[in-house]
Amino acid sequence: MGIFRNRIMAYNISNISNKNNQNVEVLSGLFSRNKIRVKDYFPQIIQPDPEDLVVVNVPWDIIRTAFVELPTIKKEADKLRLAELEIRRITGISEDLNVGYIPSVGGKMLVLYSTMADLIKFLNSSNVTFEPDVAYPNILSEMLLINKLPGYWAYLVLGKYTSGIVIMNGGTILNIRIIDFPFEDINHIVQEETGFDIFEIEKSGNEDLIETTRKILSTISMDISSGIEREIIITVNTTEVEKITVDQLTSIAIVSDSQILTDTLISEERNQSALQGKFVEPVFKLPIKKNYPLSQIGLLYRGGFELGKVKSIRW
Amino acid sequence: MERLNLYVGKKKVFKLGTFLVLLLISIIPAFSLFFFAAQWKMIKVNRLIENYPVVFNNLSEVKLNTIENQLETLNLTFQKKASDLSNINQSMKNLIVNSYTSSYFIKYLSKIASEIPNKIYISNVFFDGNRLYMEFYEYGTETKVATSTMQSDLSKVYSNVLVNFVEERNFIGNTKYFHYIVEGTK
Repeated sequence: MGIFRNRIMAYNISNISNKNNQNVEVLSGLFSRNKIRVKDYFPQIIQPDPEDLVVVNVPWDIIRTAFVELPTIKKEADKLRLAELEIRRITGISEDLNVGYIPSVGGKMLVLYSTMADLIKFLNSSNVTFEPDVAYPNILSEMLLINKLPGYWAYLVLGKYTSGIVIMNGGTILNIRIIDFPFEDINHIVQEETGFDIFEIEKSGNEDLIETTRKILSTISMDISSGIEREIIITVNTTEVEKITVDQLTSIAIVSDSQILTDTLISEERNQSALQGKFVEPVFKLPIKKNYPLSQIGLLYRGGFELGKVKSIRW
Repeated sequence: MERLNLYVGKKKVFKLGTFLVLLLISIIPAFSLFFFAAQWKMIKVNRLIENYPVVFNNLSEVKLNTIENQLETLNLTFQKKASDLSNINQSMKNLIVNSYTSSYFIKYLSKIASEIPNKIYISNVFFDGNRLYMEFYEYGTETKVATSTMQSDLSKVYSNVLVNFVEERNFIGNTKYFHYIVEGTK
């Protein structure tokens, strides 16, 4: 019965399909008083109830972005319509478009758009035949959970399937860059050594296994962090809305599902690096138990916003 | 950032069950008002019955459309009873008055005769139920009958009372007799 509370279903669809036969993970939960309560976890796809609020993730390979200048209009719908017209004008696309925007600096908007055909193709490829209420990009869903602190910040999001770097100034977004972080490879190494993957080890809380994992990660941390640092520097330098340098960055927050990985990256000694001592843990908006992937909790959180001011009733 | 949505235009749907429950919730106030009104009426009726037991004990059936006629009939019945009783009362009163007036003058005269030392002789008494006529003689050295007192006393019961002192004559020695006539109507 969804009269006084709506169940939120977060569908996390991974692009890397057929690897271990589970490319859709479903998390159901409730959102009340700015808190998320996770109810159930399903390792495979299930049909949602017609009244559920369905949130799906969108991979970045079907999202295109553009920085667009929009006049200040109060009405949200008009603004979206204008953004869509602007995108159509720039790109010449005449198909159905899904358009969203994030405020950026200097009156500009970071407009994200994808064609309806691409989105439906993506959903159908994972046997998602129902319409979602909300489709939200991958890396931004993790970002939703984090308190954006003032100053220039880089957020390094290391997800299980997608990783990226987001450069922000306070609450405004400056740049997003998707990076090719070999999380699966690291996981593979750990799995070969210990027999379990990183997430299983962290969930189990077994001290010996955690220690072993730490050791494995610290031996390859040089390799990992050199790649990451290069990506961060590239991202900062390709930021076009506002020219910034690496020195201007207040900190780099590492948003990862794996606490061991985060710890390893923060404690890694970087001699003569511009990013020396800038790696920190992010500040979360709400208490988070790391039993589930952050991206999925982010999707649940995003679903909660859709319920409006009176969370129980929506039309 | 929070409002970003890359899928627009999903139609929100309600399940039938949810719709019915919402419908039920929305008609609860109307229902409660209805039941409240019914309860309120019951309380009012109870108070009426408590206050007017006579009326409700005499009603054969409490139906809203016939109750007015029944009340009218009941009212007329009670009025009739009341008028009957007052008629009886009146006739009783008349009877008492009649029996009182038909003999009051005799009683009055005998009372006077027993109070004064003089002898009184009634020569003529006539009462036909309406008119009163009485003649009497008083024997004594001087009259003890006060005509004004007698007239006022008799006027309490009879009307048009006239007490006439007709004449005074010598009888034997210093004894005289006084002739009176009393007239009146009932």
